[in-house]
Amino acid sequence: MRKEVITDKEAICILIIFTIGSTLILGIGGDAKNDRWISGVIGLVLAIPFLLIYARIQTIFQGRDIFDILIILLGKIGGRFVAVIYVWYAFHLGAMVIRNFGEFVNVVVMPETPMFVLMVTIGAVAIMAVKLGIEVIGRTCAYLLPILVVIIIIVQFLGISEMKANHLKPFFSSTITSILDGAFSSFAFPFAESVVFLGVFFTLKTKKSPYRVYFYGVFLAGLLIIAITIRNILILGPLGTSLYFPSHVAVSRISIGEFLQRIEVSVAFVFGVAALIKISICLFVTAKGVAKVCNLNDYRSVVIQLGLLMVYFAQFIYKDIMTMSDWAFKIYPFYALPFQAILPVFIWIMAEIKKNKITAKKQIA
Amino acid sequence: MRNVKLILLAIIILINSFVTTACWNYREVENLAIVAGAAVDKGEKARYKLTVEIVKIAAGNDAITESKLMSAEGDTIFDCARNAISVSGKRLYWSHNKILIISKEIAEKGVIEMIDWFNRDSETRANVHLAISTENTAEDIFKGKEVIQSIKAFEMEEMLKNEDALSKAPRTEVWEFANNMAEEGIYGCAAAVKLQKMDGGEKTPAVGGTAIFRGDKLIGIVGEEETKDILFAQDNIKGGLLVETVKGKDKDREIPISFEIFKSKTKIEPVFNKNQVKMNVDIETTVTLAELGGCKDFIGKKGREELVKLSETILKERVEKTIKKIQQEYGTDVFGFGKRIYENHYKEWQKIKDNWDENFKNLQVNVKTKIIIKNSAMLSKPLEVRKN
Repeated sequence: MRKEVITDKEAICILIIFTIGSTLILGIGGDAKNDRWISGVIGLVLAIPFLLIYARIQTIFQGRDIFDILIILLGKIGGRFVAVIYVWYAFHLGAMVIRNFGEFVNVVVMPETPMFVLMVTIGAVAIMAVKLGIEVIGRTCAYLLPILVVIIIIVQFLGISEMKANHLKPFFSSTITSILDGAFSSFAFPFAESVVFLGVFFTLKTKKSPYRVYFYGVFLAGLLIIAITIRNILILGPLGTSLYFPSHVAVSRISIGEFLQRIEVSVAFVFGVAALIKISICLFVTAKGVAKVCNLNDYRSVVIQLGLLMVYFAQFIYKDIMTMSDWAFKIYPFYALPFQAILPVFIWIMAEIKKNKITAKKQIA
Repeated sequence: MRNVKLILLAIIILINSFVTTACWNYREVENLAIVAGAAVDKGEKARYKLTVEIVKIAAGNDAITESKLMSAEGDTIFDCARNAISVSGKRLYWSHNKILIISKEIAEKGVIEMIDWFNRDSETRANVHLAISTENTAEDIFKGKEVIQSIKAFEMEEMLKNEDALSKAPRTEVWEFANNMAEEGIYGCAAAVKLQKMDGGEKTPAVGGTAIFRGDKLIGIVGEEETKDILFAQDNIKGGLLVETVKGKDKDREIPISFEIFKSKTKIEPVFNKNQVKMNVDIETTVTLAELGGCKDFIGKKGREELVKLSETILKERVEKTIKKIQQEYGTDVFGFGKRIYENHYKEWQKIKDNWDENFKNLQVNVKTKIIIKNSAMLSKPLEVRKN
């Protein structure tokens, strides 16, 4: 089988779209009121050391995915055991994004359409994308990202007339704990979710690439997210905290001379694309992991099954949207901590030790 | 083999385009009752009575729109809206709703019940204008006669939008009101609507005045001129006129003057002095002398200085008077003075926020006014009357 390769530029594009994914629509920061953007900045800064660790792991084992790495480090049985944990994380994350998409369309546009129909639709597209392979996803992202960014920037400028600068003031009016809480939550969702890319970036060409890709990707995405958060605060004011989909409502306020209005469909478009890419990446990593754990030749043989399972899982993962938003901001950060922080640190330390041994062995030999 | 595949594919696409291209719950335009405006009153049998103005679109070469009134009762607003089906047979379509009028009677008990649905539902829009009826019922407003447009709600929306050039009613959208209810140091206000007599005895809806709230409860309505002063103190003046009469050369003949406001900026700065708070309100207005109904020269250097000084005092006095009236009669901070402290002096606000309502009543407000006359329109001198 031919080895799949993506360029740095494509990788950055995937990472940006992945990171803005569902955050674009759900917003960040939780309870930090009009200091949500500060939470976002702190969250981004918190993510830096972990990005370094992810990139370092990828550099040590260039050309190998996280599941290979685990099997090398922990042996055939132990490695597979931890690999299953990561497969679960990617699978669960994908299901959550599918559900976000379903809830969004269900609440905002089509309240009477069964959510399952919506989720199957996006699930089917994701399955197709993954079947076509990571190269296709990469090229799609490189093509779509400029469009998305241009849309976001145009909407940002159109929104200026609705913005009220005093909504940002006073700074630090929420308590330090709620700001840090928001920072922690925005660290876990979305910045550190890039840990999933340990299962994707084995396709990068050079040894230096992981650092470049992780930093450019997460930082540019972070900038976009923070800009959007500030826009939402400026337009919505205190009401913003009680909305499920702040971006959608903020953009729906924009009305320029009775002529240019009701452009919230732009948010839906950006979110649709970003959700699709995020789901595809999660599905790709899940399929890759299952293939590695079960010793399959090609991950493509399990994509359809896993994709459908993901959709079914999304169907019963939450009871309702209240649980979803509770989970996303309150529980998820703690749930994701082992996958995003604890395990990667262990893997990294072991990798550094093993690396020396491997080089030592080589020298003896 | 290739051909078979192609044909199969074509068949699948063809069948799909027939079977799967439809909406799950599609609605045709002629089956919709498009709501233009809504009025809420106390119901006779149930809690509320909702009266909606519906746009009827008559099909034909030119689209002719007609207005129609319809009412239904229910225990919640949504209940009323759904009960309307039994009257019209059609589901109300809310996306084009422009104005929500609430009667005084129920606004006094709180408006949160009325505005929640407009903020929450995805079909209704949160940028509906909020207005309080000064007539006996809110429904009466829609019973007036339209003047230019055929839909009264659209007409009222135009009135509210053009308040920028009039400044006699605040323009509050439902989401904005909801924000003001939650924010610290400010109480929301809304426009007041009434019926005005036209020639021929018919009445037409008109917008003017401010409905003042405390929390979500209506506590009073102030008139159009006072509304302008409130807007000055809120820094919300976008245009409008400043009209005054001054004494001319003849002692018994007054000169009416109108200024057209082009730009107005109000700086609201709290001053802290030990435990006392004072408010400095600095109004700076750029106007043109748009009308000068007398012979006295107010345009030359000396006359101009005199006029500026005079107008500044007049403006200062009326704004001060209105602020005092609001403080004493209603005691609610519609100006957002508290909000300014909250935003810019967060630490001090923590100390005084608990009894701000009490503080506000006795708050010392210093109004300073500055009027800049930038031109006197097309005439450089007052009109002259030949003497003899």
